[in-house]
This record gives sequence, structure tokens and C-alpha cells, in this order.
Amino acid sequence: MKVLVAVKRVIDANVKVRVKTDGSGVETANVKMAMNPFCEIAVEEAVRMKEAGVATEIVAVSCGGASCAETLRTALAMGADRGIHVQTDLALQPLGVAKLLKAVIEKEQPKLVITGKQAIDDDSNQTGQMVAGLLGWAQGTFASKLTVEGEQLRAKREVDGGLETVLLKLPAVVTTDLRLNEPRYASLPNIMKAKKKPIEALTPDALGVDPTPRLTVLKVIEPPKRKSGTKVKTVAELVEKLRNEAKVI
Amino acid sequence: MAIDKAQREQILESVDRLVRDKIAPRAAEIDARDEFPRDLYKAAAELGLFGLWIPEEYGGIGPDMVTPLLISERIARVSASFSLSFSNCGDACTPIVIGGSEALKRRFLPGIAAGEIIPAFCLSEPGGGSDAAAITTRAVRDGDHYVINGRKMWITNGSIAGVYTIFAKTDPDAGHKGVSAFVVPRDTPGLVIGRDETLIGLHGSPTTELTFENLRVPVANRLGEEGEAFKIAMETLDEARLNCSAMALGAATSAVEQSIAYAKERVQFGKPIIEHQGLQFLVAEMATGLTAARALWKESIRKLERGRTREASVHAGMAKLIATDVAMRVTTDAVQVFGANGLSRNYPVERLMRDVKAFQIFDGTNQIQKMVIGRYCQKNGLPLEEGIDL
Repeated sequence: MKVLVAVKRVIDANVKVRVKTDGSGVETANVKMAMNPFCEIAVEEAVRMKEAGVATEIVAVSCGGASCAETLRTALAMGADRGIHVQTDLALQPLGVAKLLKAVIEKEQPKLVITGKQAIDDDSNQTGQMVAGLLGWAQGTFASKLTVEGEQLRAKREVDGGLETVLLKLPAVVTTDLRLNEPRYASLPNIMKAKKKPIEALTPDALGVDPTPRLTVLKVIEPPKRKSGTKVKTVAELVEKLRNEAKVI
Repeated sequence: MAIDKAQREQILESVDRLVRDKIAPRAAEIDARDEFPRDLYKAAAELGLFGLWIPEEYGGIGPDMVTPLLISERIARVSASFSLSFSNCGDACTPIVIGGSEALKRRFLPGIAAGEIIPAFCLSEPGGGSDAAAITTRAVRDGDHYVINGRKMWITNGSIAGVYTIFAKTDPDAGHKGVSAFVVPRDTPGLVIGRDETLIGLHGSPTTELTFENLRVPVANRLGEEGEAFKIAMETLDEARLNCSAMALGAATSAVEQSIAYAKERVQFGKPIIEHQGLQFLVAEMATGLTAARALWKESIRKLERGRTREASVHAGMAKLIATDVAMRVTTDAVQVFGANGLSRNYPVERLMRDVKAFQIFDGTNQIQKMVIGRYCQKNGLPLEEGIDL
């Protein structure tokens, strides 16, 4: 079974994000970048499927500027077999990415597509669903356990009320939740080997897709600073403040 | 297989995760128990860190000079002790890589790369460590064997190693030309492993005394020709000095970062102590000294990367001198910034101070570095580069 994994390059989760002074976005110049943590979980799941003999080939795909190749190298070092880099300098949005992925998927014909449930930069939580929608494939979002059963995939989903198990007909699109697995660190020998694995460069034009953004970002601002709290002396005072000041009881 | 810059970044990314997830949570405990962390050594081995000094045909991905130095610095930010456990593998296996026969390399290097065999570098003796040509351990040829007698001290990983590179005199009258080195597996009769020292710092990195009592070693286990080992030892020394700098700078970086964070939080006389000029000046001096030392260290790495010249070697000595002295100062100052809390084992800065002291003494004391630098200046003048690279 061929598995396709989509990976996104984002600001490293350990970096304190700063808004640009002109409010046009967040500062990315000279900022440490990394693979989106949910995408790491997606790669890890595919690698485990391959180690278990369920997957036969893992193709990692990333859409974006030249540096996305580095993120693909990380996926290759974790165990993906080859990479596809859809090169564009446009500021991609979920629908654009979904259309590009659809084109790549039609070309590659994987049986399973795994993406992160969302990226930690824009937190859109849309791409996986849109890919499934555009393809007309089954989807299992927020997966915390996956089991391939013949031509079907059993996916345990983390939903508001608890866990929901769905049975998907393959081919399908799955998005990963935090508890699906704990991604490995790329080992040094695998980092060295990854360089020899191929990365195919494609363009939106070559795929016949126009990923031009349709939404305009008006302004990006920092969340308001947390105000310091006050101390209350008595329970009565607390109740009074909760009722009249905070108006929560 | 050369490690390129992008791969080096990826490697450091994996190392950072290992440091954050596995090493940092254990650092204080390793110090308190003074116990070698086998679990961490295994985790580092699984990542492939011990292959960095070893060529591909023997199970490694190296040898690479720069990456291990950067890794030492990263690990030392949370645990100088484990940084030493990591980098000592390089000091101890490099003589085998440089001087070992094909058979010796095949026998020991794959196990070292996999982390299954811990190597130890056995040069220092009770009579001295800095004067390497003056060692008194004797190796006497007896047919196709050597018989080794003598004592070694301050041997890092001495009690847990699987293989020992032992330096001994084959000709006691030939000065440094009389030094030979032998690779000896742990279970060899006559290799007596003594007690571990209790040191002021670097707890968790065993430092052991070894005794050789008619230790019989096959001639085939000798590194290079008879009398060539001093050269082998010296060849690893420049890296060792830059690695010593790396460990000191890692600990010092952590000391400065923690001092800034603490001084912003700790309130005295109605404001954070960093707003008191006395503290501000202290922090400024710490940060400036550290930044200068880091710059010299990086420049010395670049120089050594360009070629193993006498000048590069002197620069490595300068980096070691400044980095370890600065590290001693800033870790001591960090304890000062923390005040009484700095004295407490509940805060991590006193550990940094205890750990860093060793680095002024390891790999040639700082007084030896000054002698080497002074002698070079006496002979060649100031090692200044006139080319403009700005």
C-alpha cells in the first residue's frame, strides 16, 4: 500500500512568535523553522505502517518555498522513501494546498493520505478535510489510532464527547491527533542516508493548479497581555466580585 | 561521507530533542546520585551519536570534527557530566581510528559506534597528566606480546569501559619518542580496575584508577609503530581542547541564561534585581565575557577545520584558556546572582559551578595552555591573521 504524507514547514514550536511591526504577519526572518508537530505524527504513523509491513512506499509532499525541501529531508530522515516538493512562493492557504495535494494524489495514486489535523501556525484545521472533499474520498479526522483491515481502515477519532471509531473505505484521508503516536527523532545514519533519497520538484503550473490565495489577511495583532490578578480577603468578597465584576455567577 | 551544513542542522535538531526530552529531566538526579546514566548512553547510541568519530566502513558516519563539538556544547547546557560521557568516546576511539590496524578497527569500532562498547583513553598517571612524555607505565616486549606494568589515574569511564587505549613507555630513555599505545579489552587478566574518585563536580561521569599487573597484550594490539603513540595522542589534543571549551561554554551559556531569567523575576526593594545597577553590571559582564569566548571558540574551530597547523593548535589552546576561565567566572557569578538560593542544591547553578572547575584542569591545565601560547609567541610572534575576512 502506498502512503502519501503531507508535511508543512512552520515556525519551530519552541520559538516565541513575534508579530511584525507593520502588522502584516508574524516575523519569520532568522526564525528557527521545523516540521509542523502534527505532520511529524503523520510521518511517524506512515513509517510505523511500513515497519509493520502494511505500507510499501511512503511519499512525503510539501508545498511552499525553497526551504520546504529541508522539511522534506526531515521526513526522509524519519523514514519516508521519497519526496515531492511543489514549489511556490505564494502564501498558501488551505484550499490552495488541498488543490495542489489533490493533483499530486491523482498523479501518485496512494491508497492512504495522512496529514496533520492542523498546522501550529495558522491552526486552520481544513486541509485534510478539503483534500478528502475534493477527491470524494472517505475521511477520518483527529485520529488517535489507525488499523488497516484489508480494504478498510479503522480509525479511532478524538471527538468532543470522547472517542469515536469509524470504518473507512480505502482510499481515504486521515488527519492525525496528538495521541496517535510519539514521533521518533531522526537518527544520524538516517539523516545521512536521506540525502540520497530523491526529491521531485513540481510547480503548481505543471500540476495545472492555481493556488493563489483567496482570503486577504487584514491585520495580525498580538493577543492582549494578561493583566495581573487581585487578591481577595474573604469568600464573601470573592463571591461579590464574581457576581458583580466578572459577572460569571 | 561528509556531513554538510543542512545535515549538521538536522543532526543538532535531533540532539536538541534528546537533550530536552531525555537528558534535561535526568541532569539533577545524575548529579545527586553520582551514577553513570546507562539509559542516556543507550539513547545517545540509538540516535547514532557515537558514530560521529568513526568512518562509514566501521559502522559510523564520520569522522567529522565540527559536529561533535557543537553537540558537546548543546548537551553541556543541561548536563556537563553527560556531555563528557558523550565526547570522551571521541577522545578514546580516535587513536584507534588514526593508528589502529584493519583488524583492530574491525574488532572494536563497530561496537563503539553502536554504543555497545565504551572506550577509555588511558594517559594520565599519578605522577602527572599534563607532562605526557613523562609517563612511567612500562610495556616490555616478550615475543609476540608486550607485558605492561604501571598505574593510571583520572581515567574517564575507567570503571565502565569495554576497551582501553593504554599509553605506555616502550623505551623509557627516549622521551616522547618512547611512548607506544595499546588497545586492551576489559576482560584481559592483569587489567585491575580500581575505585572511582569522588570529585567536586561532573558527577555521573566515572573517573577511575587503573593498575596493570603483568598485563599481557598481543603485539597486534599496538597502535601504529612502536614509539609513535605520542604523535597519535597529540593529534587528538587540539580537538580535545576545543571540546573542553565546548563543554565549558555550554554550561556557561546556561548559567548566563538562568541568571538573566532569575534576575528578572526576583524582587528586592520593590523592583526586579536586574533593575539594580549592581546586578545589571554583573549580568552585562557575564554576557560580554561569554559572547567573546564563544566567538574565539568558533574562530578556533574554523582555523582547525582549515588545517592542522601549529597556529591552529595555539588558537585551540587560547580558546580553551579563555572559554574555561570565563565559564568558571560566569558560573560563580551565577551563584552570586541567585544569592542564597544559588548555594542550594534545589537550584541548578551551583552544579554548573562545580562541574566547570574541572575544565580549567582537563586537557592540559590552563597554566600549560599559557606556556604553550607563550612559547609560540616567543618563537613566532603574535599569531595574528592579516587577511581581511570581513
